[in-house]
Order: sequence, then C-alpha cells, then structure tokens
Amino acid sequence: MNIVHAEGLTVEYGTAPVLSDVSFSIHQGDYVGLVGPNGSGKSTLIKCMLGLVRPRKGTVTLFGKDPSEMLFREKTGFLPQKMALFNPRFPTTVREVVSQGLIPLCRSGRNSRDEMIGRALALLDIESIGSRLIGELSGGQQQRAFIARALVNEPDLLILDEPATALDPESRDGFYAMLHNLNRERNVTILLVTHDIGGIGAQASKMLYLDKKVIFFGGFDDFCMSESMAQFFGSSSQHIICHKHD
Amino acid sequence: MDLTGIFGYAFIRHAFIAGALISVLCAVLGVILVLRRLSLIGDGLAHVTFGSAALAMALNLYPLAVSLPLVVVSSFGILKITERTRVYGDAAIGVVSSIGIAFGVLFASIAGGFNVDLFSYLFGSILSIRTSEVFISAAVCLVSLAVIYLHFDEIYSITFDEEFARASGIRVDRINAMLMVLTAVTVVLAMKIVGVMLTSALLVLPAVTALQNSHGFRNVIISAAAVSVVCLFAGVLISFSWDIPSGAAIVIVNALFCAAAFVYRSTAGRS
Repeated sequence: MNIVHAEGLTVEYGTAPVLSDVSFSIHQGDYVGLVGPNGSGKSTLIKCMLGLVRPRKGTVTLFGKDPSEMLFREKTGFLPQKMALFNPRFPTTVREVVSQGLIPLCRSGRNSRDEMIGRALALLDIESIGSRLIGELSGGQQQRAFIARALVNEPDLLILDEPATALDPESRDGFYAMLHNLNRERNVTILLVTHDIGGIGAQASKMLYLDKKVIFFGGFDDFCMSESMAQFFGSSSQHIICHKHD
Repeated sequence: MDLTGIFGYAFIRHAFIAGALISVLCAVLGVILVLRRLSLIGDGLAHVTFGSAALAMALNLYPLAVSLPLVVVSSFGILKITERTRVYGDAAIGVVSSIGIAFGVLFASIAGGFNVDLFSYLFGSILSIRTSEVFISAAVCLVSLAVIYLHFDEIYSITFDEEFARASGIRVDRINAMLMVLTAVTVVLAMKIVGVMLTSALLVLPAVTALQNSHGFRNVIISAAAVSVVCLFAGVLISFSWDIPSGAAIVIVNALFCAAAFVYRSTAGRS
C-alpha cells in the first residue's frame, strides 16, 4: 500500500526552483532516510507532503488523499526542524506539549487521552518530567518531549526532520533503537530527514537522496554502492558508513 | 466600607456583572495575545474604537452599533496587512491605530469638539453602564468565552507552535480570524469599563501578572481571569469609596498586582 506517493512534484519559491520533477513512492512499513545537502529541498518536500506548501506542478498524496484537503491528519506524526527556536518562556508543561499531538484525535475521551500521553512519555522515558515547564529543560529533554508529541497519536506514518541533533550519543542510539522497534514491531512507516547517515544507515530500508531532484531512491545497500553516495560523502566516509551497515 | 449597602445600588451591581464578564474575556484573550507578541493590538483597536465612537456621535447614532463593525473590519485589516505584505504585526497595528485616532479627532471636531459622552469613551465610565448594556455585554462575553472553550486545544496549538498546528491540519487562518473578531469585540466592550486610553491595560496586565508564577498554559489563563476579576472588584470599590475615576482605579490595582507578582517571583527564585 502506498503511504506517500509523489509524481512530478515541482515547487518554486518566486522564480527559484526548489524541487524539480520529484517522483517516488513510500510503502507501508518502509523506513526511509531522506538525505541531501543544505538547500536541497528536503524540508520543502515534507511541507508538500503535509499540505503546507502547494506544488506548482505534480501531485503528492498521503494515504491516497491530497494532504491539503485532509481536515485532520490523525495517522501522521510530525517533528519539525529547529524546535530550538520555540519560545522558551512559553508557560507550558511537557504534558501539554505532548497533548498537542492528540488534537487530530479530537473525539477521544479524556481518560483515553491521558493514557496515550502516559504511553508516549514512558516510551521516551520522560514520565518524571511530565509536569515540568518545557523552557526549564535541557535541549535533549525538550527534543524528547517533541518526539513524544510526534508519537502520541500512535501514527502509521512518522515524519521526522533532523530529530537527533540535540541528543547526546547515548540518547541518540536509544532513539534510533526505538524507531527501529516502531518500524519492525508496529509496522510504522518512517521518513527521517538527517545528516547523520551513519546513524540511520544501520536501520533504514531505503534512502532518498535529494538535491532539488531525486538523485537516488532505493535500498541502502544499493545506495552504498552508488556514485552519488561517494560524491556526497566522499569515499572514506562511504567506506566507514557502509562497513558499519555490514 | 458597608458592602451590603454598596450592592444596594443598581449601578454598582451592573458594574460588577458586566465588568466581571468583560474582565474574564480580556484576561483570557490577553494571555493569548501576549504570548503571540500581539500585546499592543488592544491599544491599536481601542484607537479605532475612539474614531468610530466619535463618528457615531457626529451622526447621532448608538456608538456600540457603529464601533463593533468598524473595529472588526480594522482587526481584519491588521491581520491581512501582516499576512500579505512585508509589514510586521507591530507596524500594522501602528498603521491602523494612527488612522483610527486621526479620524477620531476629525469626527470630534465635526461634531463640535469633545463633549462629555466622548470623554466617557476616552476614560471609561463603568458606573454608568445601563441595564441594556449589561445584557449585551453578558451575552457577547458568554458567547465569546464559549467559542474560546470549544477551540481551546487549537488555540493552544497555534499559540505555542503554529507550524505544527498547520501540519496537524488545524485551519490556522480560520482560528486567527476568529481570534481577531473576538479581540475586536472585547476591545469595544472594554472601552466602556476603562476607556480607550486604558483598554490595552485590561488585556495585558492580568496576563503579565499570571505569567510570572503560573505553571502551564491552562493555569495561566485561569489565573489571569481570576486576577482580572479581583482587580475589577477592588477598583470599582475604591472608585466608589474615594470618588476617583473607575478606569484608572481598576488599572492601578492591576498594576499593583503585577508588581506584587514580579516581587514574589524574584523572591521565590532566590529562596
């Protein structure tokens, strides 16, 4: 089943092309690493998928529907990039932040909401800081809270835009292990934007390498052998990453 | 002070009922506006309210009937200027505010200068609220608070993280437009309590007070509403007892609460 399908997607900001004729399909259970240099259109592609940016040409569907016409996206979890830019003085608790992810499930009852929030906090191991103000936490704890917000509605598709940037190495390994479990045990489809190719390389089933257009889309092993991998990361990095994956 | 005796006066009861409802609405919206860095929108729309009240008096019309639509249109003007041009929110408020006050002075001049009625809009006259105005204020406030309650989660989401709210599928533009209408209506109603010059204080001060020590978004809103009502009651009583202007008394009490909250926060932070 196609979870995400893009066909000839073209986006321009003013006259500057950001995405050009991008086509790919993500199927249920895929774990896709989205990589590319800065300004390659990764975040714009995600915004198109969420209906936040309208393409000039082409189409994108989420669960078979036009995302801009979906009133609430209850099947999708999303972690935006640069959450560090949020207002740290905003008087909100971790539980309130996580509850934001449940708004698409507006019909769920209070007890069910509390249980879901509790499960998300437990998954990220942040139950003890649920009543703390988000601005009082460390960068890593804040990032865990935002990841819990993306997971709280128990989504079928998880879109994460550079989620591991604020995490220390131990937390990062734990985070990737958690994503691995979600993908394998709950069949959650994952699209993860990252520059941490070594981290995702050990887990992703597919790689989407973007530089305004699709440079490569396929399995990780094929990506390791591809010229684009060597061009982007250099041959020594290619060796280390692909060796780690073996 | 004989409270039983004071409540024997119909105008005091009217002041408390209408004032309490409008104070709660101001406080709730104030928290949202302050957190969205739109604190001065109340000030800008109050200036438009002054202009529209002057227009109503020049045309011998009921001020509330003229002010409400004009201020709602102006609030949309601020929203659209911000969304569709390269003008920041504070500059858009400045543009609409200065146009409002300029027309106010012009209409007042056409109407033969500043009369007593126009002064009551400038500085407020909560103790002269009529029974019909109490009913209108109560109805508008209760409807507005119900709308906010029903959309509370969406409002929280947009206030905290607009990008995530959009990605969740929340109709952010609709909620923003709704908040603008509610703010415009609230400013028009608040004008009767504290006047054009001090309306912004009723929106901002309870919110700033509550933000000092409250824990969580919902708690900040509840605290701001409670502070606002207490300050209104205290201000009206002080105004009645000492024969001083009610609008100024309410705002000064609010300012004292705000100062106390700052002191408590800094003291608690040190201990």
